[in-house]
Parts: sequence; C-alpha cells; structure tokens
Amino acid sequence: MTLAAQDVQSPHRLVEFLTAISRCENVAEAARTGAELIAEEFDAEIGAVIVNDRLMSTFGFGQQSVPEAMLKAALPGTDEAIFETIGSCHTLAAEWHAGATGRLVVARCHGAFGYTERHLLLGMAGAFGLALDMLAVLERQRREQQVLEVLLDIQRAISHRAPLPDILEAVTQGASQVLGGHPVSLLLDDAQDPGRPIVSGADLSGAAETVSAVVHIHGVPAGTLLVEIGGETLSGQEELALLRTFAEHASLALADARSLEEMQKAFRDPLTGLPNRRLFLDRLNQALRQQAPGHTPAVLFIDLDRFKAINDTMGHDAGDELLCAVAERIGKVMRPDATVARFGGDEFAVLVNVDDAPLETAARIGERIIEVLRQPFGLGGQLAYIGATVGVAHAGASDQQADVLLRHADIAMYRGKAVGRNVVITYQPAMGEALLERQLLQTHLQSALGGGELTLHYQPIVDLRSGRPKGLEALLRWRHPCRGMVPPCDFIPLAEETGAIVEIGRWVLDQACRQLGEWHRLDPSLTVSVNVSARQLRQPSFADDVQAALDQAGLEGRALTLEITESALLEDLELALGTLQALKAVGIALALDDFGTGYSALSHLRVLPVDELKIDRSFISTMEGESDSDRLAAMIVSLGHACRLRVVAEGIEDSLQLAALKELGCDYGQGYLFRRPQDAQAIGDYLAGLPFAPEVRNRARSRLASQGTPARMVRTSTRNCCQEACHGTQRPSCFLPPHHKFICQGRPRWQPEAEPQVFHATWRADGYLPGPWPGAGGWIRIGTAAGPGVGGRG
Amino acid sequence: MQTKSAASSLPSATPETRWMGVGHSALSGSAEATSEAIHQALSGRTPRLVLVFCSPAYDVPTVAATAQAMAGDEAVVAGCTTAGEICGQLALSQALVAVALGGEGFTVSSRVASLEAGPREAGRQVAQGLLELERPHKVLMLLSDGLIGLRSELIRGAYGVAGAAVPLVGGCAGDDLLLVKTFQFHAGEVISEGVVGIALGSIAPMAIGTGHGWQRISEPVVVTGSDGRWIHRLNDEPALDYFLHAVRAPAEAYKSGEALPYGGLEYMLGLLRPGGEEIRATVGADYATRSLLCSDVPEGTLVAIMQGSAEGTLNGTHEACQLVSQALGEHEPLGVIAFDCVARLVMLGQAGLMEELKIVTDAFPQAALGGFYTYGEFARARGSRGIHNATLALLVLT
Repeated sequence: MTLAAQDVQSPHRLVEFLTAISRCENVAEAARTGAELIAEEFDAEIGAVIVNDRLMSTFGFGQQSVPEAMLKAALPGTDEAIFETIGSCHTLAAEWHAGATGRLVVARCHGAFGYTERHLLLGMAGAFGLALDMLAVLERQRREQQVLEVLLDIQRAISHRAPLPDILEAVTQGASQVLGGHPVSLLLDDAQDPGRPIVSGADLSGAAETVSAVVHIHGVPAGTLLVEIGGETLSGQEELALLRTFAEHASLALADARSLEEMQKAFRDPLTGLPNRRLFLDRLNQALRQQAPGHTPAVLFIDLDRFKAINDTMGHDAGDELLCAVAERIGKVMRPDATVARFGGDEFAVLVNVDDAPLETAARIGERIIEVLRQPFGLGGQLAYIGATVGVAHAGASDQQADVLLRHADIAMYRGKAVGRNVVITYQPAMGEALLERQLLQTHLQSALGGGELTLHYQPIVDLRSGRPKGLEALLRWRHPCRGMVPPCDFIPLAEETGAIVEIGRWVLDQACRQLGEWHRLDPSLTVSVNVSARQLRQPSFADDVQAALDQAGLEGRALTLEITESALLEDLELALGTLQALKAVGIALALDDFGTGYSALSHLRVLPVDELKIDRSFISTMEGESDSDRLAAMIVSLGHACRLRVVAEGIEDSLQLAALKELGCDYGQGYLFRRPQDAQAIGDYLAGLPFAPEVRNRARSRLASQGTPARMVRTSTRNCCQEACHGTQRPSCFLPPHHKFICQGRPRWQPEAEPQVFHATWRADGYLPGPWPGAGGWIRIGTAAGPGVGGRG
Repeated sequence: MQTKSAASSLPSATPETRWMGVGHSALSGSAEATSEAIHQALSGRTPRLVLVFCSPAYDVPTVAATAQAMAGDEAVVAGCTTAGEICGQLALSQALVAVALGGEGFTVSSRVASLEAGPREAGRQVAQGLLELERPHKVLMLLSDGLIGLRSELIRGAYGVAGAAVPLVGGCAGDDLLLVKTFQFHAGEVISEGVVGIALGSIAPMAIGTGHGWQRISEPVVVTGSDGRWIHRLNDEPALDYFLHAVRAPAEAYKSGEALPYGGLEYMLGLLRPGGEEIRATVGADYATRSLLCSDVPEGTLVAIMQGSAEGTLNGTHEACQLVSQALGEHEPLGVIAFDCVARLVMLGQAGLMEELKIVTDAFPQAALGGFYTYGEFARARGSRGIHNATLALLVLT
C-alpha cells in the first residue's frame, strides 16, 4: 500500500522536519541537514539549500561537481532539469523571505511533484528560513559572547598586572580564536634593535596574505597585529573591527606597562639591556627557520667563573657592574648580526651565524670571549679576575628545535666546567650520554646510603715535629655494587646538587665521631676532621646534628674539626657565621680547606672563626725549593701563624717536601708519605701499633701504682707484638726479650682461643688490665721471676 | 581503514567473460566448509570478488583467512555472519555460502571502517572505493553490523560520496537470531561493529530491486518519543501499549512478548514516504519502560502499523524481481545477490522459503543466486533513502 495523496500528513511531516532542524547547532549544520532531509522527505535524489544567493549545501551529487548555476536557476515551483550525472529530473523549489532570503530545491528522477508536495516544501522553506534566522542570531550571540569572554579575560589579565608576554599571548590567541582559527601574530618594534621586531603568537613570516591592525603605545605606532587569511578573505567589516579591537587591547596592555621600555623588560634583561632567554629563543627559532646553505646558526653558552665570590665579597653593586662590563666586552667581539643574551645570574648566550667550517669558527668566537673576559675588570678601584667556560652547539638539521640546540650548548658548557674552566667545549652527542650517565649515577646515589654502599676512609694528620698523628681526616668513599669504587669527585658534586649531601653528611658526622670514640681508648688526644659542604652549613639543624653526633659518641667538641672550603663559607656568610659560632662555643675547631686555591682574602681570616688553615696539595706537590709554590706555601704558613692558626699541609708525598715544610714551621701534614687513606680496620691497627700516647701511658702507670705492684708492665696487641713500658722508659723493642719469662695467672683474656704458650721470663705476670677495646690487647702486670708460666700469644 | 582493490584491464573485454558462481557447505570445520563452498563457487576460475556469508557458529577468523587464501591476493574477499544463508533454491541454516564473481569487465574496490567513529563517517569512508572505479555502471554494496542502529546516518555518509548516480545495496550481518554480536570481515581481518564497503564496477548494467509485501493496518501515527533505537511513545502514549492495542494483541501480550504470534515479527512499523512505506522491524520490547526496540525511527516521524503474512511476503518477492526485470530490460542476468530479512524467513517457514527462492530463480533462470538472511537491508536505486527491514533486496548482475 503506497502513500496516497490524501494520506500525506503535511503538518506532521513539517513537524518532523522542524524537529530535526531544531537539533542543529549552527547554520552550517542546519543547511546540511536541511538539504538531506528535503531529499529524503520528497523521495528525491537531490536536495539543496541556497541562502542569499549562495549555495550553502547540496546532497546527492557525491564526488561529482555540483551544477551550482543550474540549482540557483531553479525558480520557485516545479520545473525540469537535466543534470549531467543523474539525468533528467523534476525539480521543485520554494523560497523564504525572513532575515535572509533563501530557497530549498529538490530534484527527483521519477515522478512529477504534486500540489501537496509544493505546499509541503513551501511550508518547510518558511520554517527553515525562520529556524536559520534564529540559528544565525544564536550563532552571532554565541560569537559575541565568546568575543566578550575572550576580551574580558584579556582585560582581567591587564588589570591583574599579569606578565606582559602572557597578556600579549592572550591577545594573539584570543584573536585567532574568534577569527575562525586563523593564525595571528603580534610584531612589536624593538627600539634597541629596529631591524628585528619582537614576535608574539604565530610566526607569519612565510604567510602569503595577511590583514593587519596597528598597535600603539600612547598614540605612537609600536607594532602590528597580523592575521593570516591565506586564500580566504575575512568575511567583512565585522572581522576587521574585531582585529582592531584586539589590537587596541594589545595597545592598552602596552600602555599599561607604561612605556616601551617596560615592554622591553619582558624581553630584555633589565640590567644589561641584552635580550633575555625568551627573546633569544625567538631569535634562535627565526635563525633556524631561515637557515641558508653555507650558514649554520650556532649557540655559545657562557658561564662565568668566580662571579659569585666577587658578588659576595665586593657587594651586589660591584657584581652588577661586572655583569654590565661582561655584556659590553662580549658584544664588542661579536659581529653586528650576532645576538648576545643574558639568561640571569652569570649565564650569557650568544647566537651567531657561522660560515663554512662552522665548528672551528664558533670555537674561535668562544676563545675570543674567554680571552676578553680573562682580562681584569676594574670594580670600585679594585681589580677583579673572572673566567668563563663556553659550550658551543651547532644547528644540524633544519628542523632542529631551538630549545634542543640551547640545551646542547648548555651540556657542552657543563662538560667544560667538569674538565677545567676557561675552556671552549663543542657539543658532541656523547656528552648527552655522559649527562645521562651522570643522571643514572645520581639516581643510584639516592639509594647508596640505605644500601650500605658508602663507607669512610681515614687519613692521619701528623704532627710534623713529633711524627705522631694528632688526628684523622674522614674521607667519604662509595663502593658501587657494579661500578666498584666511584671517585669522590664524581659523586660528591652530584650529592651536593641533589641535596643528598645533607643526609650523607649527617651520616659521615655520626660515623666519624663514633669511630673516633673507639680510637680514643687508644689515644684520647686524637681528633677527627670532617668535610662540610655549603649546603650542609645552610641547614638550620646543622649545629644540632653535630652536637648529636658528638653526644652519641661520648666526645667533647674539641675532638672534632670541621673542614670547610672558603667558597662554601662565602655562599651565605652571615648564616655560616651564626652556625659556626654556635659550634665554636662547644669547642669544635674549624679548618679552612684548600686554602690558597680560592679567593683567600685576608679579611675572611679576620672575620671567620678559623682555627686551622689547610694548604692545598697543588702547592705542596710543586714545591721545589725556590718555586712560586714554595713562596706561596711559606706565605700561607706565616699568614696562619700571624693569625694564630694551625697550618696543615696536604698531599705530602716525599721527604723533601716534609723537610721543606718543617723548615717553614708548618705544624701538621698529611699525605702518602705518612699514610694513604685506609678503612677503619687498617687505621685502627696502625694506631694500635704506635708507641703509647703519653696520656695513656701515664694513666696505666698510675692505675698500676695504685695497686702497689712493681711498676713494670708489658702491653700486648693483636698483632702478637708486645711493648714494654716501665718507669718512664719506653723500650723500642716490640717483643719481650727472649730470656724473659713470665707467668700469666689464668688464661689471658685478650685471646682466649690462643694456644697457651710458655714464655721464659724473669718476671711473673700476675695481673691483667684489659685494653681499650676488645681485640686490642691489654696490659700485663709483671711481677718477680717465678719460673716458667703459661702465657698467651699477644 | 583498510583498502583493497581488484582492477582489471579496461573495457575491451567482452561481456561474456564475466561470470558469477555460488557454492555452499554445511561441513562443521570452518576451513573445510569455506574451502568447499569457495571451490564450488570458483569452479577453477580466478575471481575478482569473493563474498562469504556464514553462520556465527563457524570460527570467523578461520573463514576469513581461508577465503582470502583460496581467492588469492588479487581478489577482494569480504563477508559477514548471518541469520541464515541462501544458495540457489536452498535456504540454509548454520551453513556457509560463497558468492564469487570475476572476468573482464568487472572492477572491485573495497574499504572497511569501524562504526565507532560515527556511522556517517564510516559510510563516507567505505564509499571511497567508488572513486577508484572507472566503469560506466557502479554499485556500492554495504555489509554492516546489524545490532548498532543509526543506519540512516551510515547511508547518508555513503550517499554523500556516491551521489545519486550510484545505487546502494547490502545487508546487515546477523548472528542466528541470538542478537548478541555480529562479525564482518575483509581481506582476512575480522571486526565487529564495523562496515565493509564493496564498490563494484561493470561494463554491463546492474539493477537493484526491493519488495516487502506488508500491509498497513493503522492510521498514521506520530512518533512522539524516540532515541533513534528505542521508540518510547507513539501518539504520546507508551509505544508498546499503543502498538499492542493497534495489533489487537491478546491480554497476555501486555505482560510478555511470548504471547505474540511469530514472536511479534508479524507486525512492524512502516515509515510513510512518498514512494511507499519503509518497513522498520520491531525486534523487541521493554516491558518495564513500555518501549519498542525499533531502530532508525527518529522522533517526529510519521509511521503506520504494518502486518506481514506469508502471502504478502511472497508478493514482495515478486515485486522485487519485477522491479529488477524492468530495470534490466533485455540484459541477461548472470547472477543475483539476495539480502533477505530474517523476519521474512520467520513469516514464510521452510516451505514458504523454498517458494520464495523459486520465485527468484524462476525470474532469473540463467543466473546464479546467493545471499543471506539479514538483520536489515540497504537498497537505494532512486531517491536518497536506502534502509529497509522485512524486505528482500536484490542486486542483479548482467
């Protein structure tokens, strides 16, 4: 049963059509749906929507070309047409006249359109026109709302004094958003570099066609807001007005930033006037995009050496003056087309376009920079010396990212710092791997302490007059489960970077104090020296941590010496002084480590509560009698003594050096000549084998005397060596003389498992005093000779 | 989206070289059944297209892989699961049917897409194969998932690419009336909730015919509540109650669908269109919400209750054949691909089915016949709509 004419329920079909159209979100969707639905409703092959004589949508032509002229020519009512791909068709069109004028057109191959269908399409056209008007109004309102919201966001950012670059970014993004997603760019004139505008938003340097609006600052043109329109056109005055509105908002933001100078702050370093990182990256991006054959952009990353010390010692004004002078010197050795930037602190960067053989050229530029910065700077009547380390990276492929290139230069610079300062290092991919390796090591370091991989070695600090150790320096060692021993210079800087040094340093203090506590039973006069980093010193709990370590080991403050480098102290002198004075109050000594290599200002010796100066090993190893090193060492010794400080020479390796230092009156020394750093067990054995410390000897003697026995005794040690101490004389022999006999009462306690052994001695061992710790031997009181006895192997 | 094409040299070939063959198998092994059916269909010839329609009881990946292996890399191989299979005058169940065509003069290109991205976009994608054909006669065959709905959007997407010059035909995959999951396959890959588009070009005419034979038994009704899959209200009354009242269902049917003859498949809805009713199957009911499961009936649509019968169904078969015969005129059919709704299978019973297939084979005695029982049919030869239910859609090749 087919649908007869009388069955056609036009109102219902109209409702069905309207229901579907009303679900559409916008005019474009409504036009598409309208064309589809009228074709389906009229069992037609073709449906078309024409609005204001523009063909908005068609349905039924597939991928074939649309006969636009024929469709537009379909007049209201019925007609016939021949379409190329479909053939002969009956057509039906109906117009509407609302806010816009339009037409619905259907075409079908089979069957002419009846009057009911003409009425139905007429009704649909009227309803569609109204719906379309409503959607257009809604769309306009939505767009206006969107524009208002975007502008409101920008105004809010301006009133909240958001950073200018952020506001300008919001302007370009907002404009792009309301202008149908077309890319928008803001070009601002740079007064300091007129040829090269500052760019915010999209890069439209390659855009074929743009429309622009001028941006002003206080009425003076300051730049342009551009929108790329490509092959299209902005649909009318409304869009151009919108672009101008956004340009005005950019003007407002710039005016609010008070002046162009303020604006430039956003892109320039306020101290030196050089481009900042943002502008540098922008320029680098441009250089990479416009890279021409034979010209390779290269980045030089420059880090100043010793800047911080000058800033701290000579004041921030002098530091600022130095940075400006550095900027000027770098600029002078550059070609005019180079970009010199300051990234903050003492970091500078240079962008150059190098010609052929770029590696050599860029490296040469780096060397020139180092050379000009090596010359002294006059600051407030004083000369200041700094250095620089330069990392170089060259653009490879044309699609290389600016930030990647900059990172490569940074990695190369970092590598330069590691191998020695005042060098130019060119980035190699392997450096990235080395950095990765370093990061891996850093990760392992986090767990090294918990994993028991860290240990302490000790090196005696010897009294050069008596030859006896006065103390030991605790030295941190890392035994990595896979890599074996990791050199301290590889992992201690990592620990400092990550802050792991705080926890590790606390462990070192605890461990060194506990160890010294044990060794005090051998010689209570021994001290331990522990190295402290700047980072530890900045910890508010540092003084408490030190005290806790001492308390736990039962030591007094005077047993501990903290070794600190001059540069570490100077990082935050005020805080360091507070902490050190609290430590001094409990008797802890302070040694200035590596003295002579840093800034070594006399004023520091006056201000800092230092007890000891340590002459760096680099001076000792080059002592030849009449060398500069000899003179410097002599000066440090004199200086130390003049300031009533103890002087310790590090790295003594031969007797000539020792003799020279003795000659200079140096108090203490450490080095391989005496003993290399060894673990606690080895150092314990070494200490036990030493002649008795006078204090120990006196104490034992007084204990024996109080028991009323002959004051003759022998000491045993775990190494089967015995020494005799009697009435103030110390026998050089390690063993009892063979003709001596003694009898031990009962089994000696020092080695209960030892095979009893008969000694022939003229004395009888009739008493035993335990030694300072288990296994370290003890004291045997020697009585009168009484024949053979049972002794123990000491 | 995967693509495949089987091109031939251009139309210097004679029409006689074109061929279509069918084969079937009821063997239980998936590879064996596929092999047997395709072997029959090919009869030693090299195909450009092999279609395989099979029961979901088979291991579909094995079927797809075996079919592709047998047809060779040059041929387009596609297919789907069914609710029954057609091979000549045999209406099969739990079996497998292969339809193969080849010879100079045919060109085939294919695409597959997931319906997840939206049926309109899927329709647009699978119609792209048409752009590669340069034959005077083209048709786009769609094999789609039959359980997802919104087929009208699928057709709009395909029609948007194909346009009025290219007829659309096809069917929705079935799953032996389990209504759980159907599969489509293409170039050895098996998917679900997808659609395969086979663009077929020929130097000779191809025609499409449809017929259903259902009768209106109610006045027009407005769909006042629908989500595109479920109809909630008809004439602003609960849809199920309105429907049951209109079909004079027994009192028990208001409580359970069991009480309806043919499980309710005797009655359906017809969308009232100028060219006739488009049937929409009411394949289920929700007794709690009083809604009817009936896809592709948007809110605001005018529908009528339709009643089917064995006699009417056979009339629909005659109608489809006549439409094709009229369209082809003197051109000699060489093959018929049938997309027959499973609802018609239920209405006809076994005897009726054989009669229906006899009508088709009698109408095209020289042509091979293959196809399957579907969960919905696609056919657009005129106008711009193309989805059907309870309908027989025929694609006849010459």
